[in-house]
Amino acid sequence: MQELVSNSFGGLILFIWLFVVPVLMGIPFAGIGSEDRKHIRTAWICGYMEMWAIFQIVAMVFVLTTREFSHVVNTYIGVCVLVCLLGLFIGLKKRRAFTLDLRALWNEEKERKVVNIILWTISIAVVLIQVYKSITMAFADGDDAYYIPISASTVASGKMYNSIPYDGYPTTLDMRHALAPFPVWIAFLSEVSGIHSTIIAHTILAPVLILVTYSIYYRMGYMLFKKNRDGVPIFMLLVSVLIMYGNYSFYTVETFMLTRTGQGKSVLGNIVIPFIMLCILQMGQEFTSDEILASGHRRPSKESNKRKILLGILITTATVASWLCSTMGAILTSALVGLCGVIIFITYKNIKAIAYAFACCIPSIIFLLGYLVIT
Amino acid sequence: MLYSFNNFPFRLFGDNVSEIWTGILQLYRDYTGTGMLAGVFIIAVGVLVYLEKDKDRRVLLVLMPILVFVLFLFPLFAWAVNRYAESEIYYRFLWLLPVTVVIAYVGTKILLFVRGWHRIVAAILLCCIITVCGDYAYDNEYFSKAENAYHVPQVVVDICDEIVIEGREVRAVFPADLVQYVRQYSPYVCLAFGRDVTVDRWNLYNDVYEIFELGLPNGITEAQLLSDVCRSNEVHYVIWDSDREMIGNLADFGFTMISTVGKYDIYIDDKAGLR
Repeated sequence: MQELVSNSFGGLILFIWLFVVPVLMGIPFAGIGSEDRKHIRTAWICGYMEMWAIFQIVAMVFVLTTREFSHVVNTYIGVCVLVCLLGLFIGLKKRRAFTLDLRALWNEEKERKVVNIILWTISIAVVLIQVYKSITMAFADGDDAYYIPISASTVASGKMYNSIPYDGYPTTLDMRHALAPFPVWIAFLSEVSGIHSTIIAHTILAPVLILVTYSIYYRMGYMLFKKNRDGVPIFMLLVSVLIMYGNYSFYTVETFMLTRTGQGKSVLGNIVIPFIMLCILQMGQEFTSDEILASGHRRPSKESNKRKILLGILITTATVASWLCSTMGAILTSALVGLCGVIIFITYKNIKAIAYAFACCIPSIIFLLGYLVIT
Repeated sequence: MLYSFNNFPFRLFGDNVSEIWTGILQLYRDYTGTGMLAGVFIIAVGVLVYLEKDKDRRVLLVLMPILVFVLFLFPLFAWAVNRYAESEIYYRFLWLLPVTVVIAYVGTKILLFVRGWHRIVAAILLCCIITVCGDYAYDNEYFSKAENAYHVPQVVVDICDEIVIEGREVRAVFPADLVQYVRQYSPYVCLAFGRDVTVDRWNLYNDVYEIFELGLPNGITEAQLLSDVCRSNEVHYVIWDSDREMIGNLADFGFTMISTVGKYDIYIDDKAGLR
């Protein structure tokens, strides 16, 4: 812990990259799933999808060409600064939409409020236990012997994927792992902060990613229980307990979340896929609302069209972010979005949904075809 | 280029439709463990089939899980996915089932019928049921108290600090139980054999591993054989668990013990020219 405490500047840089940058990047999408307000927390989780998608594109280009880590670092910082400035500009323009209506919280019935506070307290306590354990408990996972050395040797050598992570012998490019460069993103955080990549992956990123996951579930709870907000604390309590007791087999997403938090596949299962599920909830609303169904899908409002475009960009971004985590990410997220389109088409006879879902999957389909050709 | 059902190496899935299906069911059984929470999930989806009226929620919470599950069991789909990825990771398709969301959603719907303070009691009761059906993550045998911020054993940190030379890489042979941590801490320490060699089912051959870990047929390592194989593989350091027996002494074959960290003796090859 000494390295952490002594490197306070590195800590500040990490705070900027893990909290400030995603919020700024996600501002254009901060209103997703909410008709009335924009939320900083929503911006934060959307910003992660953008951050990862941009990193995937930048890293993929340089992994396939120069394999120089410095090229990735410089290009990525440049692109992120531009996207953050855009987000800041939009955020300042629509700053009133971010105002919190605190009075509404106090206007609830007294007993109900106390009950909700108690339920919130318990659920937050369960989440904090998981955050605490992620910092203080070490999990002996064999896959870390592959992924973490990729990050560490990338920082040390300045080259990507030029040695076998297990033993350090020189090697040629392993395409399967190189096209899912989540460890290189960890190397990037290590490079900009000066903190060892192993500390970032195990001690810093793990609690942050757990909080990102719960923010997604909170947003989901908020959407599922928007007519009765009393359901949100109960939903969050049950989710947190289900995750903590989800170790019923080695393969569940919950097990991955609490044991291999800093690995790409865990991020895929616990952040990207739930995030796309959140988008699907919104997509379901956009394509199955009574108003749209009654009009025979002919006259969606201008506002509805705008929301759909934003949502489409977000879903596409999330599918690209999934490539960063695992090469299987492209299949899983495309299947999820595609199935959603098929379901809405079959059940509610809305053919636009299937075209919409297909359009969101086009980058992933191209990626999959490219992967098959290269390998 | 198309792969036929019979030519493609399915491994876990086998070579024909019935074997693929058996493989899929095996994956499902492994994934669901005791099956109790999977059972709760199926009941929850069943409840929503009849009671959930909101169209947007039916898409994610009812129709999606059913379709994902049907697709997961479909052999042709498994075959197609296997064209792209390994069959062992096909279970990840089950990650598309919103198990946590569906169970929590139905549980919340039930609890919203309970009013006032009884809701807290009912919520705790429901949590208790989940704890009985599920399994506590931190009971996992692979969890231990972190010894440092790296989450690697402190002995590995100390050994690596001892052998690292600034400005160059060194190669060392570590006991099999430590290899997975070494390069997590220091990318400047290369290994004679890594974690991949120690995984039995991957069946990789490494001559240093054979002599260092497996030793002679009686399981004991011989110093001369070890020093020869290390030198031919340009291994500069040998990290030896002093609790293990060795025939002969590495010091007699050009290795010098430079330090001891915990129960591990650190030997350096005198001919490597590092000191």
